[in-house]
Amino acid sequence: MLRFIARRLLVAGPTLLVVITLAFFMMRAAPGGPFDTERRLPPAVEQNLKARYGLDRPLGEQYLAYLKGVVQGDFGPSLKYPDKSVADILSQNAPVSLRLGLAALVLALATGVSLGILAALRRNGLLDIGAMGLAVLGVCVPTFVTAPLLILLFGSTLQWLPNGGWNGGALPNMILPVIVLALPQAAIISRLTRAGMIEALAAGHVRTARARGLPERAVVLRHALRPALTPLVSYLGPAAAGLLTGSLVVEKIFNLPGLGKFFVISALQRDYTVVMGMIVVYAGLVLFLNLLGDLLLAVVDPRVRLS
Amino acid sequence: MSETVLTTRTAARGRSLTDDAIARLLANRAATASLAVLALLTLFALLGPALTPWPYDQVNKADVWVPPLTNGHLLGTDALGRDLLARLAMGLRVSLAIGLVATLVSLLIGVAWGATAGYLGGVVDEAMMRIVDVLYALPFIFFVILLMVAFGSNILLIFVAIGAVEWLTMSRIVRGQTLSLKQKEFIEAARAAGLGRLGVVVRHIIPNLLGPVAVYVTLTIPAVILAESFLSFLGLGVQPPMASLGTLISAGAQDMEMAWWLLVFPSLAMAATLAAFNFIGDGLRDALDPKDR
Repeated sequence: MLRFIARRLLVAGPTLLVVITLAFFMMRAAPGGPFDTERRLPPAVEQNLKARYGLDRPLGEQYLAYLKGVVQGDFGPSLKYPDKSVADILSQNAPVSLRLGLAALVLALATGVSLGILAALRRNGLLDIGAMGLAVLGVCVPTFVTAPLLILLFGSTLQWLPNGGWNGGALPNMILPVIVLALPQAAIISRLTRAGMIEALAAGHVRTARARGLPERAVVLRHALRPALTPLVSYLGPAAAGLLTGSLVVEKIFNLPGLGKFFVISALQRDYTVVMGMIVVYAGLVLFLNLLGDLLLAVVDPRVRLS
Repeated sequence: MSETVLTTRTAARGRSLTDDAIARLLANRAATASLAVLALLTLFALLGPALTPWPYDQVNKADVWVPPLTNGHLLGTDALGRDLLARLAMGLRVSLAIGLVATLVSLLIGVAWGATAGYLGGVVDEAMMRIVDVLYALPFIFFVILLMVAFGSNILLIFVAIGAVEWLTMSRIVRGQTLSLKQKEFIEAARAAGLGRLGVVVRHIIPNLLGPVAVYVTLTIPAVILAESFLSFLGLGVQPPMASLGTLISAGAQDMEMAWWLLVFPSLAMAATLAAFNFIGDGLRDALDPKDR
């Protein structure tokens, strides 16, 4: 177990390095810079600004300096918001994204798993067809379609819920973004659960449990559920990645002050340090969740050996 | 899904595995309906721009936000008075083209990479697959966004960027298949019969790879279309006056309070396209590998 974690962490290091290197040089290859404004700054001022942030040094030197900073946990100052560090911006905006993402994950798991189980139990029944129809819908109707449609219906037309905004994370403001974010994941989770459950219900130990005269409830919940849910555990990493991607759209449409909204704006403004900081955090998060998923899988499913 | 029983009158003619697969695919109602839908959508995308009375980019200040079925505009017009039907045909054409070309890019890279790793094996395989592992863990959409920001969004770059992202899974599938094929008896038999290395790859490995690759290709196309729309929605994809499904939906979402049709029709076209590809992919998988169901 420890050896497995150590090996995975060894892979995580180079992965993060690749992430940082690619992002760093791609960002710098972009035309324009953080100090471009409508009116050109006097050259002396621009030179001073660049010197202040070390942008006048050779690129290789800047890269090494940045790496050194990241290793020490220092993401540097923001280039667009002179009084804020990247860490400030991240810690201010991350809670919004985190709350949204967690709520969406919980909702997706709750609806996906229960729909998947029910669909598998009544295979080819009305509920199964309905649930799988919903699953297809969730995959084929992207977030940037569901979000405006739901706003149009529940916001503008019925006026039950606000059209957007964060309002300190009040429940009415959370409902629509969380549903939109959760829908595609719920669709995939319900398909995974259904497939796992159908396989588990046909397994030998479930037949044995039935033969021993256990009530159907106990058979399903105690014997079939655990093997049925193991594929879900390894879906944790991809699900997190999907939620991150989705949050880019959702935060833009609902005008929420999260990381996703900041990412595109910062990239367009060439705020090098902020973009880099976000990429590092996102990549670290996805790597961590993938590792967590693999570890959980080994705990839940003794047939999986970590090697 | 019931199997169709084929009554063959000429008893002498045998049925190949491909015939079997085609018969199974045609027996799958969702897949055949999807094939028909896709054919119609493609036809609309190819011929639509030529058949509509207005070009897709013709601005008409007198006919702004005309609702569907008025003034000869079947699906209405947008904020600049452009005909939505014409724009939808153009957008569908662009989205389908991006889906096909980017998938082709991912196919070429993925098959070459995976087949090389699988066939050579050993240290080369290990190294090549580690690279794939590392790339797999990257939050790729963020890199595509960076790429678009860095080099400006042009259609060629979108093809390459998305194609370069989607090849990873393809290479894993191809490698796995190649590895298991290498061990099969019929390969050994071909070798024993005196077939050379290249001959084995061309005559036996590649034809046997086609099935799983075809399935994955049909599932990659909608993923690519989705990725492009996602970029377009963030303002980083296809640039106006050109249209893709993503830019149409994005524009429709902005004007939905005034003109619902601008959001609804492109969304429907998008959903139909994605659903059709997904159903065909699922049907193809079931048809090619019946034991997997």
